[in-house]
Amino acid sequence: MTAPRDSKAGMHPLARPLSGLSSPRAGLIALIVIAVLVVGGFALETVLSDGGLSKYPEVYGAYELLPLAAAAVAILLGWGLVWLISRPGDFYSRAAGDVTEGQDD
Amino acid sequence: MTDAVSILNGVSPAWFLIAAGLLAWASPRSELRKALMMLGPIGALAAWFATGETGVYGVLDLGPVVLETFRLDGLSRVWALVFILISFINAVYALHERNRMTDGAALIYAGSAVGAVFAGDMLTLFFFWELTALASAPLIFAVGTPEAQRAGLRYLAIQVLSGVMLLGGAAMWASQTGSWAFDAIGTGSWAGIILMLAIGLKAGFPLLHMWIPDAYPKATGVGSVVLSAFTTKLAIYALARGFAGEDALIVIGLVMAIFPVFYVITSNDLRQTLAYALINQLGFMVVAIGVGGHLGINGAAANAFAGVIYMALMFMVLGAVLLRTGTVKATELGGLYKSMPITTLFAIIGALSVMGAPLFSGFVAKTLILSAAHHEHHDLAYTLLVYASAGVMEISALKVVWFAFFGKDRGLRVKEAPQTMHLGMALAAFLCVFLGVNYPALYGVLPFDMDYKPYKLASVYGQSQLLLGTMLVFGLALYFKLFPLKSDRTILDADWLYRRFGDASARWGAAMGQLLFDAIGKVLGAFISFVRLRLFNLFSPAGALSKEFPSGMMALWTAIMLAGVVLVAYFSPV
Repeated sequence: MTAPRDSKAGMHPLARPLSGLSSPRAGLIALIVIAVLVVGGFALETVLSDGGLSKYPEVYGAYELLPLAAAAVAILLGWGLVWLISRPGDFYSRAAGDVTEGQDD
Repeated sequence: MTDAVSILNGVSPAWFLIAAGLLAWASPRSELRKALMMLGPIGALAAWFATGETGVYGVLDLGPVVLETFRLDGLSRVWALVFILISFINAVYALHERNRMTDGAALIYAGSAVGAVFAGDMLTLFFFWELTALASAPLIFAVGTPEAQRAGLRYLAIQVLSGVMLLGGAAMWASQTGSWAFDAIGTGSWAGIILMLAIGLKAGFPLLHMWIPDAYPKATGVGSVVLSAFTTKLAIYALARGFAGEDALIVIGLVMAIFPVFYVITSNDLRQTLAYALINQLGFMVVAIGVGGHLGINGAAANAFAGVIYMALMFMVLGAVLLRTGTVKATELGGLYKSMPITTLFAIIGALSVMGAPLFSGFVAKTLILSAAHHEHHDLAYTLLVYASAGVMEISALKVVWFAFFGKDRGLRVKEAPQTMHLGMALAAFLCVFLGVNYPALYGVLPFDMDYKPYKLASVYGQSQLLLGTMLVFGLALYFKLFPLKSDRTILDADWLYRRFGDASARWGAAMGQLLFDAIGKVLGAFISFVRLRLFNLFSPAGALSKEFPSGMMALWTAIMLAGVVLVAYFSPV
């Protein structure tokens, strides 16, 4: 039995003030806030730092940007990985022949 | 009180846990079992505090071999402490459960892990090493499904194999050096390599890691919490003890830290996602051990300490979700914050620790490792760890919190987790925050003294940027529906090698063997029939030898044969 979506029925009392969090608009606002913080952070660093984007004497550049790009690439590559090496959920139990058709696994 | 505690001086804390576990196993009354589950860790903690002086206790002289069952030093002390703490937290968390098998097993498992870190020789280590395997398997078997039974057997087989390799390597090592002592080993000999592989099997080295994402998601809710805490961290301890400063570990650790990224992204089972994040976390520790030095070993120890607690917290959260909803599949969950807000809060605290957010334990632990790599001029390792941190740790934590508690509301309106579960989660969450804010408490128990301040502007700023940036990437991927998540799919991993390829090879080999056997049988049968037929043709009443030959012909052939014999005799040398 499931309750109607976006309904406060069945909600925990502590969660009721936060019921709006599940709306698409709330997600978009959160995303925009995070984006502003990210861009602002790098901008602030560029302005304040003497040697450009550097935090440590030995490490130059906004090195945090590269892992972010890498994370984005990894997420996109995940599609290829799913296509390449994903199999049906019962792949092991059925393919090995240790579960017969109709048997609950 | 002090006197009461001081009589425990020199008594290994492991025995309290193991004894409590055995009693719990034997006890049919759940109230008594729960009391034992609380008292065992409390007694162990008292023994830990009582034995203040480092040294070797509990020595058993068996003639040719001297066993050291309780070696207390800086390294064993910190691992034992976190093992005892987590066994207590788990006891609180599991108060709602009424399972005799898992109650006893969890305590014996914790006790054997503590016993292993206190082992001063390899025979004692082997004993407790195997005991961890035997005591932990029931945590998977207890689920009772055929799938869990098979996973438990696979888990047990790999753990026992690790123990057998450990014993074999130890015997080789003892024959070479004349000592069973468990100290620095190195990879300069075959014995050392075998020992490292034995430990690596438990530590989740690449291609030896498959049992972690295979077994952890199939254990009971409480079982996965316990499993996440002991086995792999025990192996990390063994690496720190025997192989500190081995360069090969840096490469191995980096692979462990990076490759789980794709599995963290694509796995639909959130406990499996955490299992892969755990491998990443282990990779950080393996790198730190490879870097070596005081900072590296302290970094590994700090990560083990903080990691045991925050990963346990994350598994506790998912255990509560599993208890209430019956699933931990990302595609079947969402919007749970509406009915489980307190659990959501603990999930957020755990996730912030996993991600290494400032003011949480993950930050003060992870910074040590990054600093160790930087300090020892392993710049590539440093860079790749930063990548791994963004790609695996942060995405895994965000994924668990988002898909379970926020995300698309599936209309699941369930009861909050039991209060005892909340209490266990609260203890773990408190430690995550306490150790992050009051970091000298964590650094104070580390093996080596150091003067290190994690909260430097540069590191806090850099880590915050990394964290926010990963959140942005994750959020954008969700917003544009680019996150590759599919329901009811199995993502192949190295376990395919034995679960499918090995299984198919064995079946193919058996079928080929049968075919060969049949073919040989056919050829032999045909040959025997042929010979039988020929003999029949020769000797049967109608056969060739039964015919009558003319006597003149017989005399001629006899003369020819006689002439041949005479010629041979004439030309033969005397």
